[in-house]
Amino acid sequence: MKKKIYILDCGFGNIESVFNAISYLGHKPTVILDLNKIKFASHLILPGVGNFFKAAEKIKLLNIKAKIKDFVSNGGLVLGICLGMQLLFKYGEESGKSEGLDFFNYKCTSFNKVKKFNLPLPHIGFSKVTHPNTKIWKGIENPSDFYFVHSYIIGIDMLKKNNNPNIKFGLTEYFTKFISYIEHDRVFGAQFHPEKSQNNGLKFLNNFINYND
Amino acid sequence: MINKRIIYSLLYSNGFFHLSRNFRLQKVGDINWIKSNYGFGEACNSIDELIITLVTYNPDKTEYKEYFNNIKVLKKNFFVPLTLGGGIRDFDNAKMCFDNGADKILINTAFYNNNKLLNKIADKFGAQANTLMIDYKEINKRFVSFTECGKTSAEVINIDFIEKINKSDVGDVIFNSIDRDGNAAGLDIEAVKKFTKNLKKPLLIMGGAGKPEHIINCLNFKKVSGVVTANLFNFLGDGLNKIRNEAITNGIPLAKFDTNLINLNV
Repeated sequence: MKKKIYILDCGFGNIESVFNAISYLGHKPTVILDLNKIKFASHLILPGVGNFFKAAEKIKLLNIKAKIKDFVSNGGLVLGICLGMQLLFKYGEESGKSEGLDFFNYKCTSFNKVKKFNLPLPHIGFSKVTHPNTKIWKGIENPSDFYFVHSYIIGIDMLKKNNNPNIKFGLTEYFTKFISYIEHDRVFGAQFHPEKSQNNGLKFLNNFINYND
Repeated sequence: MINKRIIYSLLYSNGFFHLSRNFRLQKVGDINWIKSNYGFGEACNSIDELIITLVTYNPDKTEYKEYFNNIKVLKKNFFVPLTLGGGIRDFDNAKMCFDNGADKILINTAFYNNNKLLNKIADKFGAQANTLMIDYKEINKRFVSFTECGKTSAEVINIDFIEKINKSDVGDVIFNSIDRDGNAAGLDIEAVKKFTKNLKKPLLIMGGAGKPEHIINCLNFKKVSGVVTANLFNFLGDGLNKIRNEAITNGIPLAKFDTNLINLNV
């Protein structure tokens, strides 16, 4: 199948490194500013470093939620990176409560709220991801090091509240354990930056691109 | 276990990459030299992050443009976090760095005279996007920070100064010793230990890394998140890879990179 990889540029993240990584892997990604032409895509990447609240405003403005849901139910693959993963959840607490895309029924919250001691924040650097060994992790050691930059997380409490066995998780520890990877159906979320994670990250992205092969 | 970091900094000015000694620059080669003699892609497989610093004093628009042209060529073939900066005085400068692929930017002078700029960048890109570079020197047994490429003294580094850092919108803080810059005689761990006791940000130390044991000794200090080296000779060939492996053998928690499977040919 011909792959058409779209990268959504909402102005809230660094898309160029994602673009370079996908290009390095031999594909020609398209950068889009809204989802008006999403039906032509096979893969959608939501990159992002930034503020949940601001991104949520943009999501509302561009009516992204309905369009992405539509895209996924028509067989499209979605990968959210960092803030892009956080946005896959129901709501975020950064700069006040705001609505996400609601693929996963949980919230994104501050590291410090989860564990109240003085963490050096943001969590920056390579940390180990213990992953679920699903198809997207093919050929990647378990655990493996990936690059993180973030102050907000999906707390481990989600595991207790989740009763859908088809949702798969990856975990990372930075003073406290948190959910660093999530997948369900054709929706994938990585709190880490595969595009900044050397060969481990390139393999991960390559597996995402070739997911349907 | 929290991984520590080994960060490499390339120094760029006026079309050339440089070595620096006590903030005096020495031309080494241009981008073609880097590409042909440097094993650039391989070397990037051994580092946690790359900083490409614009070390031109008061860079103008043309200089920025050339700097970004060089970065554009280099970054197609490395997939590590990138920090850009040098001479960032306003939001447009900062935004240009992000638009050209920076994950973080280097802030120095603006920390002292333009806190609003730091707030604005943090607001748009997150506080972790501001990496604070504190260039400092020892003067009469006191440590003094410097701005303007080490030309102008700024503030005495004391408890209040550290508190000011803690309260500002920055992520990583690099303490860069001007005295040790490029002398390859070891990092200034003892001094930094003293004055960063109350620092609540991730601490990086720069200046003086010459041998693997310098980097290992420094990373052994609990509070240190990472070491930054701009020593080109560390970067040549498999120097950094050796340092990394030696550090891992010595029990330093560092990320392990899969270096063989995807070949990065620059």
